[in-house]
Amino acid sequence: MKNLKILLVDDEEKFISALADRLRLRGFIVTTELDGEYAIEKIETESFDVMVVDLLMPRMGGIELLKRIKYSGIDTPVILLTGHGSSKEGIQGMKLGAYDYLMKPIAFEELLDKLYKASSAN
Amino acid sequence: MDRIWYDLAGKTTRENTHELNNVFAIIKECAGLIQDHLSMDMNSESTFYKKTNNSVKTIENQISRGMEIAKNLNLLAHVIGLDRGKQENLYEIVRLAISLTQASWKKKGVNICIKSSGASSEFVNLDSVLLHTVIFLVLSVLLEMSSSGSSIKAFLKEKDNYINLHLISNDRNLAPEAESVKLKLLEQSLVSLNGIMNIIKNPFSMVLAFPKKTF
Repeated sequence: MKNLKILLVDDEEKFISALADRLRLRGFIVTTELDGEYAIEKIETESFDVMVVDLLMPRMGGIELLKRIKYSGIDTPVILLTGHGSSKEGIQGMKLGAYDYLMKPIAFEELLDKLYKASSAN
Repeated sequence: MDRIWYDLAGKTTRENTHELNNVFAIIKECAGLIQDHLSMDMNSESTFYKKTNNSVKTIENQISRGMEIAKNLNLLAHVIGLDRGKQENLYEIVRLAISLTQASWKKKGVNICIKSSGASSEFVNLDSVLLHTVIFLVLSVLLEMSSSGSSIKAFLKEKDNYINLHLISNDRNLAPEAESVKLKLLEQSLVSLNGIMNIIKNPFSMVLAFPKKTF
């Protein structure tokens, strides 16, 4: 299986650092960004198989980033992360075109499953 | 003024729960990363591996415990922020109240649970904050008075235009104290606002009746 290229976007540096390391140990090629603005700059120059985006971030949140991605015509699947403990925000994101959502703290195996499914759906 | 206070309490609880979830997420991924490295780099028969692995598992279990508390607090925060007078699912409110109060009284060893609802409709037409206040107050007073090792069962039953919340305890010593629950509610002027409340002694049983939502 091809090594998937993943873009992780979250302002919680320690969280994405550990998550990125865990994914790299499993063969994923992972890039991390700390907010939506940086992520936009990144996806303008590089393509990814799947993006994992936190909803609540300074400067540009996950929903705004998702809208910008869709508006730009980029078809990379987006998996949203929500720390609010309810599915409301995740469902709202899916209505705007997100592939799926996960609640924080995430179940790692579930994330892996969604990454593979999202990349094959693409 | 009350509305402002509830909104503030709801927002503060919600935002802090969000932060708690972020903290749990970091701890969980770091614990997972330790376990990944252990599995790859260490002999699984070594004492170091076993002890570290056990510690990581303990961390993960405690995160799950914390997540459950955060989830309930988050639900409570959403409830506080609801529009006043909105229809309410009584079963969900009692389930949430049990979960939150049980954590506080766990050391006393009183078990409390809600059985699946026997009512065809569980929706009541009451102010959400008031409804929660009554249920939390009743449960906390009941738990406070109950002896260690006793248990309380809650269930809902439809009767006429009401949904009755039945609370039955197996603690025989609780019956003489039952009136104080009623007094406590009367003190707070909550009984008259929430329909009928009956206390049947021996075995201890309490019924709170809430007006059913008419669609």
